[in-house]
Amino acid sequence: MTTTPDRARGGARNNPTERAVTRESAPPDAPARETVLTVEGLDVHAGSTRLLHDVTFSIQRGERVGLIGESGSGKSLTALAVMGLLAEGVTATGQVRLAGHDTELLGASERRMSQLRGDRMAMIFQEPMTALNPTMKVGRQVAEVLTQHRTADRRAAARRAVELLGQVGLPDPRAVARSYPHQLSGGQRQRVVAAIALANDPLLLVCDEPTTALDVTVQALVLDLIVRGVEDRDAAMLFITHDLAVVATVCERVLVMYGGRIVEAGPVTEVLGDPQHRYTQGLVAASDLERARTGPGRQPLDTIAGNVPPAGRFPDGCVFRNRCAFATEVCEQVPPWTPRGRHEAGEHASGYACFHPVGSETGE
Amino acid sequence: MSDTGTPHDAPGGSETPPHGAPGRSEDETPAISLRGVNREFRRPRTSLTSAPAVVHAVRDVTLDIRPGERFGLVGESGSGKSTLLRMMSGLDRPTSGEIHIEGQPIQDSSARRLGWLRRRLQLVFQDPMSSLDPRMRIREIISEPLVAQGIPRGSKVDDLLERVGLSTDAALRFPHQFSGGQRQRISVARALAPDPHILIADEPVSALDVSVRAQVLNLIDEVVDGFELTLVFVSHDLSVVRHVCDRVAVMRAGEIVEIGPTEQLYQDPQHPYTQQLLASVPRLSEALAGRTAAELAERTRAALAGEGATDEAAALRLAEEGARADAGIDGGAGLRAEDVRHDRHEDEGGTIA
Ligand SMILES: Nc1ncnc2c1ncn2[C@@H]1O[C@H](COP(=O)(O)OP(=O)(O)OP(=O)(O)O)[C@@H](O)[C@H]1O
Ligand SMILES: Nc1ncnc2c1ncn2[C@@H]1O[C@H](COP(=O)(O)OP(=O)(O)OP(=O)(O)O)[C@@H](O)[C@H]1O
Ligand code: SF4
Ligand SMILES: [Mg+2]
Ligand SMILES: [Mg+2]
Repeated sequence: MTTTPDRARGGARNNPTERAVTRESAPPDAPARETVLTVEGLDVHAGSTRLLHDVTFSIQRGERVGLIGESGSGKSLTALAVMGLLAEGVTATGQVRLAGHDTELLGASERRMSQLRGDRMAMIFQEPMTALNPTMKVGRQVAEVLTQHRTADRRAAARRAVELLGQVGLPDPRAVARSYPHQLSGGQRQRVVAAIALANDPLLLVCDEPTTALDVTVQALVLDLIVRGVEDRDAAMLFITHDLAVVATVCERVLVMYGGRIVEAGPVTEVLGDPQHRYTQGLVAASDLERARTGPGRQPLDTIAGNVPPAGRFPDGCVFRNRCAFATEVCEQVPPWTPRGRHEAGEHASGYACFHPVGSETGE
Repeated sequence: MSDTGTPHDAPGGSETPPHGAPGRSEDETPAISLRGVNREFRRPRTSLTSAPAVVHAVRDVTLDIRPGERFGLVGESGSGKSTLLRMMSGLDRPTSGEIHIEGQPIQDSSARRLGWLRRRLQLVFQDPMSSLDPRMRIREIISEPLVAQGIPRGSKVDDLLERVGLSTDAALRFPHQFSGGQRQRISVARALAPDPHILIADEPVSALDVSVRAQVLNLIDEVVDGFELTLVFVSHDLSVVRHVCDRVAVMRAGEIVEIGPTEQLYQDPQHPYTQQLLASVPRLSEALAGRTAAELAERTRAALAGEGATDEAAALRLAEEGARADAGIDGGAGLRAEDVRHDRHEDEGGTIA
């Protein structure tokens, strides 16, 4: 798949209907889709503080996977480790592999990683200005990512840049191409960043809270264009957010992170509609403002006791046990991963790590 | 315990208000009354030839908030919510219009002459870290409004800490030793210290994690009930306001475009802008039932079309201008053709050099 020439992929993109038909007509028991990203036993340390523990997941071609969790749970660190963008002094061990590249990315040289970034893998951050050069016209910034990784001539790159700006829904893309980032609104800038990220048809798009800084109306439109962008390219997406409604709108599958570990994973409808891990259960209940409205009068909201501890202060064993109403002695051990059902992307695609899951005897 | 002595727990708990308590009749004095309130800001001059831009942050707002009401203010970024709150709280003065708090005018008084207002009206802000002095112990922070008013503090600090769910040994610690949620509890305790009648909260849970947000919303609910407060609650999160408030006003570009009882406004929004906001909010239950990002955006586009955006470009422009009071000023609301015309000659023909 990675050897497909770009022009062929571009052709398919220009004909979305044909593409959709092919995908829908695939038989239900079709073989598993190609795995684009594999993360195995990823540990991240800052000095002696362990920030990520044994993070394992994979994403398949065309799959949109959400990564949710409260502030400080390790979502951004996971994304940065995958992209090879961890800060100085932060070290990662484990394995990160991208389809079509035999080398393990955590050990790859910075030169190799910068060849991949912006090309085979791209990232959209919460604050668009971190990705944009304030002194360079927007069109040139899009064109540059094309010429950096491809041999396209400048003229063609400039034309393609305007085309890409149009594809992300910017009105009058020729005028936008000639403007500087500060002349654009937040929503427009985030579209430009999306155009840059999607320019080389990446295999993997990582989004870290891409709409958190935007108002709801703009958010709705930007989410749509990001999803369309990855769908048209059949790319894999890792989408980070702390908003359960956003993740359920955008993704098919979701990973729940707490205290630097993935505590639950699976299809969005299962994990958020019928959570198994006690933390996910608490999180879903605490966000449910609708339930509180159904009873007579004003109902108090369900809460999780206590606070999210700072990095390095989570308890041993189950990281949630100091806040969990169902904790017993056994929770002082690290809970093993329990697969839930059978998922084509393997046992880590769907399951949970909890000794007393929802529906088990204890405390129910 | 601090619970005893609050009107809520008064023995008998009868339906009729105790002697001297304000009734809820038609002609009672509003807790907060605004008449034709405007606030204009002058932006610094950006060129010698053109006049400095004027941002009309609040436009002709007329509004009464009844004692005991839980009043919500929603609107997108830049719509004027905080500016309106600051004027209600005597922290800023209107360019024109009248503001009465419990019947007393405040619009012409300087902050120094509004000492009485601090006893009746207190505030809680979004970012508890920046609103709590990092060098002060919690005891000093909470008793600061008491000292300022010359009210004896006695054991009040301990009572308040317990009341907001913190242990009394918190009193000797500093703000940085607490989590975001705990700091917001401290802000609530400080606000309650002078026994105010009115609590004004500007995005009090926007910086909090979901699990902690629920705790703080429950706390606000408890203290508003327990201390019989009038609540003015501002948020850009429509679901949170729906949970907290009895009546809601929607702000856009400095104006209140719709106001009404919460359920009526959410179930049957009249103004196209309210409809647009409600259409754009992703909801977990709907997403789990299969609503996709494309469908959510479709709903937003349809609502924008209802506001007169007949093509995609106009819809996007309208969405991006959003509710900002300064739309069209300083390029803050996005690109206009005239912003880029001046450098057209540089890259004619689509060539980007
Ligand atoms: N360079 C670093 N050195 C030390 N600790 C760090 C470093 N970077 C991140 N951390 C810590 O690691 C933890 C996880 O951080 P991360 O940024 O991944 O959280 P997050 O899930 O993205 O949270 P948020 O929702 O707030 O963005 C946090 O407690 C953070 O303080
Ligand atoms: N001191 C000031 N000087 C100049 N302009 C100001 C000032 N304060 C506010 N404004 C402008 O007034 C408008 C309304 O701002 P305000 O902070 O009240 O909005 P808001 O609804 O609270 O937004 P947010 O949701 O982002 O907090 C904005 O355009 C803002 O830029
Ligand atoms: S493993 Fe134990 S402590 Fe952890 S979530 Fe499950 S029940 Fe709670
Ligand atoms: Mg983050
Ligand atoms: Mg504000």
